[in-house]
Amino acid sequence: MSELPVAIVTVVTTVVTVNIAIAIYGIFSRPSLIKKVIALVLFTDSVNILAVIVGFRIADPFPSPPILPEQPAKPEDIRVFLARSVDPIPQALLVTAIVIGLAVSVFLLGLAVLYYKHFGTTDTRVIPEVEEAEAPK
Amino acid sequence: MRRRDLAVAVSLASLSIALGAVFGLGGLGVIPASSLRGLAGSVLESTFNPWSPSLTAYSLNAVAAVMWDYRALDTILETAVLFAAIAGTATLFRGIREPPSFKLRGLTLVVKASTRAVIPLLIVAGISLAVHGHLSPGGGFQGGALLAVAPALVVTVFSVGAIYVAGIRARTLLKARYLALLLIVLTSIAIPVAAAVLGARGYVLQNMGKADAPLSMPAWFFNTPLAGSVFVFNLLELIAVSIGLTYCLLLMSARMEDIRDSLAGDSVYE
Repeated sequence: MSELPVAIVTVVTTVVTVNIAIAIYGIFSRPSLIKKVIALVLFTDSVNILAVIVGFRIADPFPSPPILPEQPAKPEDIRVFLARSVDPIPQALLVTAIVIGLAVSVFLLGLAVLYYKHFGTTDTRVIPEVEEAEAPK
Repeated sequence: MRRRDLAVAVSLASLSIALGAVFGLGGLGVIPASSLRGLAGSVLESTFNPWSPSLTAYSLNAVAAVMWDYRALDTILETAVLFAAIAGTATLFRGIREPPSFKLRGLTLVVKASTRAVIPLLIVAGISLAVHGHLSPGGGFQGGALLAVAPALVVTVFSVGAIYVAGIRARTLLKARYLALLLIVLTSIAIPVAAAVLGARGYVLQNMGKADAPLSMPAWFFNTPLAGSVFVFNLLELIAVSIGLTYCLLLMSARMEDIRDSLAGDSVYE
């Protein structure tokens, strides 16, 4: 029964490593500010998925989300829950990480909007030229 | 240029392979683990456990219990970070007036009609995610983010004037957000203040009663677990997040002319 969780973890970590490489390429090599922000969000989300997968576990017969399904719960329900549930702490910390990622991207998008309004483009290769052209002689 | 692209591709591929090797060789511990970590076990055991009343949070959702009970200080600071980012965005867009005329253009009738059908569903789903955050997957932030999609759709489909026509102003949103943050702080110090009045002991961010601090938030709503401050914080976080994101949305969808004018008037700072 432990083949499926191992397969899930393998697929997810592979996707995450590829995503991290793509995101780093986007942040450093794409000239558009908006694409840089998109790549940063992709990077944050890839690392978040990685942290969720660290909390994943093998359980018999299958792992369950960290939410107690029975109400009212009896002591046996809590014992079954303990035997099946995945780790809730990475997930709780990730909500924090997601909120902070959102805060950063809101601020960066605000900056990008202002860049666009000021320079008429979000291309980082063009911005220095515009600045030079605007500079007082 | 071609050599540079090749170097970038090779370095990224080797980074990818190196990361994969680290994960594969167990650099982050054995994944998937076959047993729970100790901390996770104690959290899962006590998140809803009426038989150990000094540790439990009466929350069926263990993630919500960790967020707003066991590690509530973390989450308060996270809300503060989001507030700081919104304050920073507001500083970037300072001096922008609201549009003098609310001309509604928007997309076609089909898009408008289907958006009218979707928006009430979004609002109900967002509120229910937060209200049931301690019983089912969800929580205050998740609900707030979903709720903030509704004004984003309105701005995209009906144009930003529709928000102003509905009577929502950026200044009012900022005030409502301050109010929600103030209520979060007041909820976190409610128990120590009440305990001081009653002559007992109480802790900041305390949820359920402890052995030496008997006061507790309401644990049950009739026969449904209420989880005390988890429920209250979820509700207040819903308001704070949805209003904060709507405020940023209003700032960023300001008209080009208004932003140009305010940038031009800013030469003092440059």
